[in-house]
Amino acid sequence: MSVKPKSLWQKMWEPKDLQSMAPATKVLSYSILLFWTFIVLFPLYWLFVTSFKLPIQVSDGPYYIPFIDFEPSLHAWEYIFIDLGRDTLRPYMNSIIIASSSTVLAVFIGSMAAYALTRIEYKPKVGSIVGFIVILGLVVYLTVVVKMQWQLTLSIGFALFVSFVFAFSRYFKRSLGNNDILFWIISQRIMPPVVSVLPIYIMFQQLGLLDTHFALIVTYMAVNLPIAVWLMRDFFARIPVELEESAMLDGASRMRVFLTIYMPLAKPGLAATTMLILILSWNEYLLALFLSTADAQTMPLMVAAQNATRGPQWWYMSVLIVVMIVPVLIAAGFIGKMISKGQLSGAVKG
Amino acid sequence: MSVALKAIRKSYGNIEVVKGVDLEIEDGQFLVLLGPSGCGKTTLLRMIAGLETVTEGQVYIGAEDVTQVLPKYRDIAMVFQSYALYPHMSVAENIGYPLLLRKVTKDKRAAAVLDAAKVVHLEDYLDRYPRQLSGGQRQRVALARAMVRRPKLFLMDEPLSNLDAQLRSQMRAELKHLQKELAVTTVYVTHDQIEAMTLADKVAVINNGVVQQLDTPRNIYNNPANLFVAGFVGSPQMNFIRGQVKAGGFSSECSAVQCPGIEDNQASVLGVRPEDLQIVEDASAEINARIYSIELTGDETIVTCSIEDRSPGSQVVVRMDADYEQKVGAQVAIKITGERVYFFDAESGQRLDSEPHTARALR
Repeated sequence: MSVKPKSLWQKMWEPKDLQSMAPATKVLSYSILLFWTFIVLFPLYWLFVTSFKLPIQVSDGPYYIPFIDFEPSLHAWEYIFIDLGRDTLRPYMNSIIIASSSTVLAVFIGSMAAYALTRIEYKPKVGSIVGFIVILGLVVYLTVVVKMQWQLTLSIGFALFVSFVFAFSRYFKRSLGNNDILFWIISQRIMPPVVSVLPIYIMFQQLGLLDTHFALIVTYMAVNLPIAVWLMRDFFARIPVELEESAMLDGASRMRVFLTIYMPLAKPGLAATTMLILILSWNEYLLALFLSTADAQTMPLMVAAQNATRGPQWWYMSVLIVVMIVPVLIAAGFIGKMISKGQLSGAVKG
Repeated sequence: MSVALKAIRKSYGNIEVVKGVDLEIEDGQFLVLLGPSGCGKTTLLRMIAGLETVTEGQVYIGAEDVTQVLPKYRDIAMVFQSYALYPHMSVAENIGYPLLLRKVTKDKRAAAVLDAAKVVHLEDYLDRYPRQLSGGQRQRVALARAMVRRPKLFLMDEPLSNLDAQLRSQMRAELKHLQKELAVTTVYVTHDQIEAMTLADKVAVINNGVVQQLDTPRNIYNNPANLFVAGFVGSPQMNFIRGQVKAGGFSSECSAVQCPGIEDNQASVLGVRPEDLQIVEDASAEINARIYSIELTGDETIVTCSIEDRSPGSQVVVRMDADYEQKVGAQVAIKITGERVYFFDAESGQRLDSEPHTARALR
């Protein structure tokens, strides 16, 4: 067979053989990749060099190359770590404690909820839900408008609801399913956090828990739970149900199945979910702004505080942001190792 | 341990899957639940295991009513169709998991795991993970995990269906041997009649959520209770010829035979297995047919003939010797030569005779 000579156009766009890329494709894809890499990395670089600049150098204009464009100085680092010292360390530790404990709690509790939603079928009766809402409304009305004691109304309301459910729920036909529950859980994230920030603030103010780790941990956990449930449910649903049934026949309790079968098998999912929630609570600003003032202040607040009355202190901000990035990088390194493929292969015949 | 199911029913919503099943399984017996897919046999097994709730009726293991007992307290070992190995545990950990849950000490556990692994010839694979094993090996791990302790009951849900033909017959023999050796009562679900025939002490043929016949494999084959059992057990399938019974004689459009002792019946079916038929030169043979296809299996020839019948598509399958040769389309005569001819009622499917008719009685 005689091979027709290729035109220049074909030579550019068709690969020479099956192993290589066409020259033009190669040039094109690498230039797009390079361009995007620059877009992503440049702000980080800029941040890094800014942290070594004097205020006067920052206001001089954009200079990027240390030792040539400008003489690097450690003054911002000295100010943050030596002059401020403990005042930097405190928010830093706060951030670490709050972000890590709220993440662990959200992922663990969320996983349990996700497991239940994949493996147990719930059928909340519509009638019972309506009954709950009506009784709750009554309780609120009696407490707020009629000014009855809340201990009294609440306990009567509770007793009423329990007897209502026991007496009538068997007559209700229509019921919701697991997907409705799941949607209800995720719908809490549809609402912007600003909507709920004031009630949360007042709640903790009434409880006297403002500006404590506890308030922030609980709030972050609650805010991130829907995400954990939503993500983990998908990973659990992929685990064959036979594994659980087999373990149960082997003599395992439900909790045991969850801890020794489901959690290890969902490791990649756990890692991804943990990473995402960790980043969300690490960077959270709005809730922290309301719930903490000094003792429980977190890093995002500290960074924002550098935009002070004297105008934005870019050099201090840069230092803080650089040190803020480090723990996340370390965590990502550890967690990323857990995201490995093929956890489930060999469980069941496909 | 003996097992008894008493008037078991199971419904999903309005659909009844198991419609009143009574079964008694003696201690040490190997019972096979045989039936087409969707007949309710797996549901039945899962109800014994406690993985499925019972809508109505009771399950007894030994003398104890376990209908409402959690699976973990039933002391049952189950082998799943899909093996259900724990992928994050090594073979040894997989096999030892039931013992770990029973708080058996580490040394005893290791010894028991090794013993169980030796039985299924996996002692060299204890450190591997399920993903590094072939299908047959995975299946054997699942078996070893079931056998590592002495449960009251083995449940097996089509455990061999994912293996290739050769491995399957090998594992079949091994299973039968092991079950007799351990003498643990076993309930085995399959849709494969060869498995049922070879493994079982007793076979329960199930269709539409009802036990059609519960008997020894031999009786199931030789004396089927109804049309369904007759048609489901045996390969190639039993031949059915529709006709009428009148004054002790069966007649259809292509054949006429004597059938003494059977009451008149307008719609009845004559059943005869392929091995009880012969293609002969004799023009006085019972059935006239034309050859439709000839398949040589090696040790025998399966001849499919279409009956010269006005009912289209009716076929009769004859099992001939391996050296039988004939052209497709040739006119042949088929003679009933064997000892087992059955008569069924076409409407209800029930047998009309209590004992199979012999070929001699037909003439």
